[in-house]
Amino acid sequence: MLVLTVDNVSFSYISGTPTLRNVSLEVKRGEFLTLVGPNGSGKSTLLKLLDRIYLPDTGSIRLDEKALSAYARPDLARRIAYVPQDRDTAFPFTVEEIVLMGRAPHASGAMFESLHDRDIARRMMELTDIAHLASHPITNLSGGERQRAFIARALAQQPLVLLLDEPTAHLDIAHQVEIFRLLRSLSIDNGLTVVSVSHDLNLASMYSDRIAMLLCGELTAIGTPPAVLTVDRIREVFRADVVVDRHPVTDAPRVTMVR
Amino acid sequence: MKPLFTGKHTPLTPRRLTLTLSVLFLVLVASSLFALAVGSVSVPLSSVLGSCTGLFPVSDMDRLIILDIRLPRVLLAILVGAGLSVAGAVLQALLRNPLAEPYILGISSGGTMGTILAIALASGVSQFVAPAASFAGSALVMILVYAMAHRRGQLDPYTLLLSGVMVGAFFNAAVLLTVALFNQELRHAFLWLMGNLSGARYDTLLIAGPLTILGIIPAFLAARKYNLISTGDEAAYQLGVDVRKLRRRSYAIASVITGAVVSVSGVVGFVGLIIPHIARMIFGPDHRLLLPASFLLGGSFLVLADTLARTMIAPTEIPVGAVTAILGAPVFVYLLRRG
Repeated sequence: MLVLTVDNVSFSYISGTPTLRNVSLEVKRGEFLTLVGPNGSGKSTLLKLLDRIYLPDTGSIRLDEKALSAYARPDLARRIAYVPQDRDTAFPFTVEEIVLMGRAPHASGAMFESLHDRDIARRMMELTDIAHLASHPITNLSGGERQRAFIARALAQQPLVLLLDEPTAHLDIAHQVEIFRLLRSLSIDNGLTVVSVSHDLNLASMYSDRIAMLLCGELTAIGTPPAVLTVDRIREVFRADVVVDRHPVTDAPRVTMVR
Repeated sequence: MKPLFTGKHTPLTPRRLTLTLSVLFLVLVASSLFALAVGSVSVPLSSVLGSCTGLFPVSDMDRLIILDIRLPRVLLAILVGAGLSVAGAVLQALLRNPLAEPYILGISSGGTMGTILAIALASGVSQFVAPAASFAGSALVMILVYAMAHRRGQLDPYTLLLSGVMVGAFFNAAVLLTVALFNQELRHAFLWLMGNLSGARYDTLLIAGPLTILGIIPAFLAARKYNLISTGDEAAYQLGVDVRKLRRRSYAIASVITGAVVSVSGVVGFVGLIIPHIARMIFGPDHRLLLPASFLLGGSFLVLADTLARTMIAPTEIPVGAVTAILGAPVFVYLLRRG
């Protein structure tokens, strides 16, 4: 069953220089799709179009077989959650306060969160393994804990689709794996559709169902990791000399820089 | 910047909100009663309560001092302190910067320009003309800064900040130039520049009061949205907040409050910066509590600061802006270093 349908979408920030050109793709329910590509290839822009932060110049995007533009904003916030790359933590909100903010689209003007909201926030903190940090200010957490708090907030929106912009940026290897394992289990165990932007081809290869590769605003390939991650394509798209073999444990394609 | 508030806490409940605000309200009432009793003539507390409630016998002299002289001044101090604190808290959320304060938008310098011109050109009729000219100057700067920071339907926080600082600097220079050209009323203008509540009368409250309340109520109602926007524009937008509308409205709120307050008090510094800051340290960053707590705390603080200003070397008065700066600056440096 299709959740997201991107149909021939083009978009430009400055007219005349398109950031995305004629992109078409479909995302199935419960699927984990990773968007990869060089800097400036349009990955993050595509993600923002999927949450209607920007509107496509031409083409259309459908969510659950209904035009994305037909949803009211709070309506959309109950179906799609977006974890942006740059978040501000100027003020010391606690983890629980941050996660409870995810209930805002369900609040319809209420001044306080209900017990039901508290309950959901609690469950999402347990799911992302940060329940023990509930009363800690977000400003005191490590990068990985903070990222999980913002994922928990997105989950508290109880969305169909979770969008993430480079969720592992600035994290060490262990935390990177931890985030991708979490996303994987959310898609398998909870039926959540996950679309994530990543720069790490190996993490994408190990954990996602499909990979979409972008170059200069065009979708050059989409498919399973073995189908997309070939030596020739990576050389063409990233202009990097690589070898691709099999991961010794998981058998997923493994990309190694030659020099 | 390092966060100052590091304490753990649980999410806000209606119960905690009510309890905290009740305590802060009592603090404000106690500060006000103290301010009404203290001054160049000391009035017993029974007379203060008697004048306000009619429950105790009061001499005509005491009643005159309390109701006609001190009460409007205390009410003005509450209005100015509360208004600046709420405007400061709103701007800190909007700019996501705990060091923002109402005057960085340059509005006060517009107000100053208006007042100085009124004093210089129309001396003698300044009791009513000065506040009106001040508000007109504030409004002019508001519109100028807004036009400069508003691009393609967006109100960019950094452009807003820089425009405010630049327009502020321009008008401050214009103020100095005007003072240099019309120096006969210099002392009066000088006092006003320092922030001063000695002109308090019921009719000054009549204009600034409703304007300030008009700004504060929508700020309180948008408290939950301020929580969301203080974690980022895109983050708030994806959670269903109309960020552009909230930014425009908040700018208007902060501007109207600041303009109204400056027009009746001059430039009382530090209150709008330090009160939301202290409130956040004590009560946490949740704006549902932070905004009303800043209101009550700011009111109490300025009532006490103004009492100090008019009693410290009585019968001579110190501008209350000097008191808030002298008290505020060291406290702020201490907080920064402790954090």
